[in-house]
Amino acid sequence: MKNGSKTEGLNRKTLNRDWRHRVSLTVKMVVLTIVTGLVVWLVLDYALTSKLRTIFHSQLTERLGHNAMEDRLSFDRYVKAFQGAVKLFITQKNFSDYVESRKWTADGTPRIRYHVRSPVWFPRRSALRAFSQPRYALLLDASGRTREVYHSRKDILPLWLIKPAPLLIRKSHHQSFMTSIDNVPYIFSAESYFDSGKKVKAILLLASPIDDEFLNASLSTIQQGRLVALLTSEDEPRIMTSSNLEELPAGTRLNSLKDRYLITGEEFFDYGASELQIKLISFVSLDEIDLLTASVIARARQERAVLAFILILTSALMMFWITRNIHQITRRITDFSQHTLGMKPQELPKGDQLQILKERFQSLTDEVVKAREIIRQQAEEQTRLIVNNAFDAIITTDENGEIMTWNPQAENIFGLKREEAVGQNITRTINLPQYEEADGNNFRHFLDTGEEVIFNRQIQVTAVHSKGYIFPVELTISPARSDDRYIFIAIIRDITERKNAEQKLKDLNYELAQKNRELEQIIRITSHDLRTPLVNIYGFSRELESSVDKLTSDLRSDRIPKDIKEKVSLTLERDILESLKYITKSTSRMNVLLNGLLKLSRLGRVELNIQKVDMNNLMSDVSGIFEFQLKDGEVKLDISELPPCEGDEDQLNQVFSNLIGNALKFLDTGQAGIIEVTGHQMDGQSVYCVKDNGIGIDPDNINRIFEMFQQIMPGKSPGEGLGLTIVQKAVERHHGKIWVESEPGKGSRFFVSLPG
Amino acid sequence: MDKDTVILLAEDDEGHARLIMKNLKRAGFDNRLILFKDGRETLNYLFREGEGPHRDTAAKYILLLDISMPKVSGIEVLNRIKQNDELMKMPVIMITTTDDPHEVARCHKLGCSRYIIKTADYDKFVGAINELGTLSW
Repeated sequence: MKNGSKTEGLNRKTLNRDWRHRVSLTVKMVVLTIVTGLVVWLVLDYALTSKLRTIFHSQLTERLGHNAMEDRLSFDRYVKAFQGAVKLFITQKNFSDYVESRKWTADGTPRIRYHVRSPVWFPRRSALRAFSQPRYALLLDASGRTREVYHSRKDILPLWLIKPAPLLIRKSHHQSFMTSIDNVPYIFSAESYFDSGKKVKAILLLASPIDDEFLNASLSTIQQGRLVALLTSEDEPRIMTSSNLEELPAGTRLNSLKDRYLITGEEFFDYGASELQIKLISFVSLDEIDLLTASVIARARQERAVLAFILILTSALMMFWITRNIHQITRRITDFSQHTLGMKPQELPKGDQLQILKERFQSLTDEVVKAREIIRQQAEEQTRLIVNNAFDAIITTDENGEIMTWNPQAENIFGLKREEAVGQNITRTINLPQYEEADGNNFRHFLDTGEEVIFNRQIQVTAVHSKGYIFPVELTISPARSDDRYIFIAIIRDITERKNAEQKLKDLNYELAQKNRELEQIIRITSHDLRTPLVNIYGFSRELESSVDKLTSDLRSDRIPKDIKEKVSLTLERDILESLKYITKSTSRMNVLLNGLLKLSRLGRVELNIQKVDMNNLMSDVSGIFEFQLKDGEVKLDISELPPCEGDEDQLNQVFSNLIGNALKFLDTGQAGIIEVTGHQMDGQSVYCVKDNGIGIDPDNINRIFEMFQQIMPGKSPGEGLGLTIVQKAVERHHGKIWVESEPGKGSRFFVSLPG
Repeated sequence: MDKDTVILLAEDDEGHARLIMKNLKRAGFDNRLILFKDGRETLNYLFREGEGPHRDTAAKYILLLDISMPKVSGIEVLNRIKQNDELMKMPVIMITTTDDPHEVARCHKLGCSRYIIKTADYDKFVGAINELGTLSW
């Protein structure tokens, strides 16, 4: 059960991991950016919006304040202009002419004339536009009785207006008088017209209700559309009239408007004796404010949105680029681990590249560690193989000569098991006592000074076997640095057998040299001793010859009978001389042979003077020796450019003289003789060739020509038949080689190879 | 060589001695000749030691010396002669069968006046003897 849940847990973990990994880094980053952006935006939004609102509010309030002031100024001007208008109207010629022309009496009840269109005494409507347009204009006589009424619209005029009270008239003089009649605010302004006698002739009274029309008219063009209202001066102010009665109907309580509107400009107008105290206030609907704010905020949001979009895009692009690079790195790591480390090929999964890279890198480091371990093990294994299977003893010691490792061959050679040897001092185990001190000193000397006296050289010493006997070994000790310490590696070979073999060889060589010397001596002595009797034989044979000559001449004496003379001379001339001839010839031959033997024996003894020999010089010497014979036999000797060689000049002279001599001996009498000498270098050897076009050598004989006393054609030429033997011996003493190629009837080629 | 010079011949082989003497005669050398059979006799005579005839200090001598002789070798004799102030002036001609260049060189180094090789090349040998006459002492 436990296992099950564990695997399940793992699976879930794996699943979770998978999910996290399957999503590409770019996607993650984009999502993250968007989320962050949103959060930031919202926070900013909230903060900014309320801030904006506050700023807006205050800004608006300020502006509103200005506007309100403007509005009030405007209103004020308008109100004042009302009065100004009446003043102006009175001065008009139309007015004065008309009034002058009236014959009003003070009695009776005058009949009031009503005008809808501008009367004569009143400016035209078009002209009125420049001034405050009074709704009503009343022309009163001196007693204040209404004579004419102008009302711009067809509406019902209230009685008090048609017949204004004298108080009203009076109060309206020289000012804009505002008062409320029947709860409707009015503005009045009047002026008296004085005739030429300075008596009031008429009174012009302008009146307008202060209603929305009035308000709107009072506002300049730029202020049109503003929401203004006139308030009553009660404790709970109400709207008397407003510029937009739909929105702000008369009678509305100010307080009720305070949540819907921004209200400014609550100030009383001081209009002197006006009974009405009115306030002109400006309104800005909060909704409008909100709308404005909203539009600004919306603009700001738009901009932010664009910025955010750009940022997200940029971030996404950058992430994409980064992701690609990460992907490349990951791929390179994978390739490396595949090709260099030899790990299994793996597909790169899709998903979060950074995670994948992390994983890959982790597995790479694991692989590298593994590979390093493998290599180390392999190296160790290899070393172990080498050391264990080496034919030489391989021993390592530490700085003090204490044995650290001891391979199987060391066990064999020294008869000491590994367990016994490790830990012992090397000088004490395998050295003779007299060397211990010396070797110890050598080690110390090296450690102190770094000077190698006995190290890194092959030295032969005597070692001690565990059984006690001594034997010769060849050893090399190499110091090696390992961290901070030195270790010494000794490679030791048991050379007992070799030494024995060497000794044996030495003994054999000595014996051989002895025998050789003996032999040479025998030859020398023999040939020398043989010579002595030979001299006698030959000498006395010649004496006999001269004695025969003497006898022959003695025979010529006349005192000897002819027939005896004939018989004796016959014996003398024919028999004795003939016999003597054979004797001398044979002894001569023997002499030649003996000479050859002597020369041969001497060859071994003469020391070689090895030098670099210029073969061209040598051959020109040789050809000098044979100059006469060459000319005599009409033989052409052609010597090419020859490479130099190493050897004894005299002996080599002998060699080539012999060869040339031989070539001369075996010429073909049928054709012109040509002897060619060539040479080339090959593999460090100089190879020379003496070629002739003579009679050649029979294949049967070709193997025997170098043997002693072999003459292919005895009698054809003088010689011991030792010539080639001597040549061969000389060449071999130079560590060279000589061989021959020949074709009977065509010629022969003698090759000599010598060290170059 | 004038007629008074005594020819000393140190040669152990009889035959050789006979041949040399014959040829000398034939070459025209009539001088008195004394023959020694070995190195000892030669030295005794020259250094006036031991038994046998002794050298005459007043006379002029020429010595024909063979290298290989019993008792005392020719080389040794030559050596001793050349070490003696009086005798070193006497011309010594080596007559021998060996033509070993080492030996030849050695003799010349020791100070022999000539070196004649006894070979079976008899004519050469005879010729060399004849030349003795041309030597100026």
